[in-house]
Amino acid sequence: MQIPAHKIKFLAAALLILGCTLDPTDSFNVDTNTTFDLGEVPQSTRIVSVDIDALTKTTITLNMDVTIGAMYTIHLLHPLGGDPLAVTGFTATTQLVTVELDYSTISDGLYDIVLIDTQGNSTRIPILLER
Amino acid sequence: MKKLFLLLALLLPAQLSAQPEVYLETNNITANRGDTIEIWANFNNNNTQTRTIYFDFSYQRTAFSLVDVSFATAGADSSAIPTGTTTSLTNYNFPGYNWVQTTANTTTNGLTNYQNMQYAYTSGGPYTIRRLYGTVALPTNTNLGTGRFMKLKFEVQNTAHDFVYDSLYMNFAFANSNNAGWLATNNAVSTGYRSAFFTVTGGTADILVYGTLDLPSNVNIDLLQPRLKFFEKYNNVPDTLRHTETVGSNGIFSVTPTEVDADTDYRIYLSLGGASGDSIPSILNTAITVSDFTAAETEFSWQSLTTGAFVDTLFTKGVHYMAADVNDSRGFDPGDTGTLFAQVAGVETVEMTDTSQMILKSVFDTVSTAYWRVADSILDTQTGGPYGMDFHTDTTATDTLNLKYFIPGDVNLSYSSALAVNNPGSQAAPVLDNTFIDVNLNNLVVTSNSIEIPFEVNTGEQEISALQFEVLYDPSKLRFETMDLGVSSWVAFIDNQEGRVRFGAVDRAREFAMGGEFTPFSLKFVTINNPLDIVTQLHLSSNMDASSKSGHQIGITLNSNTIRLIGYNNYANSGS
Repeated sequence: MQIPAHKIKFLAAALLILGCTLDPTDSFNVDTNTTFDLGEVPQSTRIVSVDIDALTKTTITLNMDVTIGAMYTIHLLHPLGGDPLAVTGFTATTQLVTVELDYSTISDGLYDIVLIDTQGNSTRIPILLER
Repeated sequence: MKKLFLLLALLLPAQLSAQPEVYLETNNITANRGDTIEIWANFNNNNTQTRTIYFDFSYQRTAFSLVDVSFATAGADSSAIPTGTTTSLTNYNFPGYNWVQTTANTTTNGLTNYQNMQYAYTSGGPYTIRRLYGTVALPTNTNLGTGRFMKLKFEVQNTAHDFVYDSLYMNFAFANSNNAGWLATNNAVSTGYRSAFFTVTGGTADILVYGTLDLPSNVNIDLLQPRLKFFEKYNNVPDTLRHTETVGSNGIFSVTPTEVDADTDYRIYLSLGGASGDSIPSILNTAITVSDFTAAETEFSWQSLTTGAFVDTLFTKGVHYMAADVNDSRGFDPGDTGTLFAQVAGVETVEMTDTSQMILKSVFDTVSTAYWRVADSILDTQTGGPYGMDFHTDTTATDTLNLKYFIPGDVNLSYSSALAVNNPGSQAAPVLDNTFIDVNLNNLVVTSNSIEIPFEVNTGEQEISALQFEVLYDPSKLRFETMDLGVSSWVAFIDNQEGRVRFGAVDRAREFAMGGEFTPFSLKFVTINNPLDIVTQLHLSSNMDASSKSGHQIGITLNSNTIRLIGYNNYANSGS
């Protein structure tokens, strides 16, 4: 099938305009007037205990000692670092927080769970996923 | 009920102050090539309910093969493992990685070292990290005892006769208990911190030439890659490369009769930076830093206006001048300081082939500031350019060569051989011993696609006149935009390559030295994708430098060499 010349010109013009207007950085520009509530200043960032569900072997219950009103993020990492394999955020409503983590899509292996607060403080524990 | 359990869990660690111990049984092992080495990791339970021990070891994978890991026999006299115990082991290998020591991760507590772990990765690198996760299932009402826990069996590889063997290091080991989670664990019992020192013998080759090349203590051997090139000399025909000898990380080299001939004339050159010399710019960026420039500039500015003589305040030995003469004019002139600044700023690269300047140790240490031009002339004439070594091999006996080198432009010799003089305090004259400034870097929660990272400096009583750093970043996630200079009277420089930005500033006017707490630099990046989702890290390389007001090099203490950037959404996601 042949495409008419005027359609090719139209497509080329459209692509040209798109190419000139779409900036990969600006497309994610976040309004600088937007304020983000980072919550309370964290005073405690501590993993108290971790339990692995005996049945699923991939549901992790993490018990933490944190600061009410502060925000935290939990990363699942390979033992020697790199990008996180799973990320979970939360804002603490009690000092002792329990978070259930579903790592059913993560393959068996040895990992680190890292708890990070908004001040950049972090603590980690090793975890072995073994189905 | 859940909260009650949590409260109990919180209180228990405080009540149980017992600290288990995990340590290597010996720190002194002698073996021959081809031997197997057995190393025991021992355990002292110390009234805990330990069920798991997590180990991190590093060693040369090119020198040692881990052939077996096994638990101590349950119930044996020497064993920490009681009768009726079942064991399981998870074993992970990370070739190319090596442990990076910091103050925070070299404590006696294995759990602390784990929390502060840092690694360096070299593709195809000679080291490996081995993680072992050993778990025990004990009979009811039983705990581990004191004694042997786990055995590592290594085989010593049959490497080259002059291979430099390193030891096994236990970077951390810590215990997990039934009732108190992961425990602070003492790793410094008996053998001291992280040690299992190997002495490997058994080299059988005859040695024709043996010697040392004096390497600086902070050398990055993977970057420097020092090699000695043995050219056979003929009359009236070009010299022929006969042998290239790699110098070990301890500076030792030895050459056998199969590599060079006895009773023959050779000219030996030092090559740095890989076979093709492709890492020479990287070596120069590491070796020539702001304090080299400030030292040269200061020495030059103190030159007598009437006689033209230098006062030799910072350059106390001839080799300082030889290193400062980067334009090879056999004089120390404004062209040298200008070229040095251009190199530091990344405007121009000091001209250098893959051959460096190598001198006999006895000459390197003794050339005076008055005699350096003559020495330079003689060395140049002898070997026709970059300094090398004319050498005649013996007929039978082993010759010994003790050598030193400098990299042109590295005037404070921070990446070259150190000077040895009678007064140890002035070993490296341009360096102010034990003087440090603090630099604080903080992690950030990212809420905008424009990210600003301040470098906060506290110099204490010290005034500084130059500062430089190098930051590594993931170019698929971040784009470097610009640097704000907090010391407007200084001259700034930025050298931005993909994934790496080297930057700094110098008080060229020598009138605006800074002291106390201030923020000399703020780096600005933009995110490539949605900033609210980003998770990435910036790493500071070891390529950093600072100079005092007087031009001396001073040290930098970082609170962290990693800056973690985490987008807001990673905190805001709902947790259960």
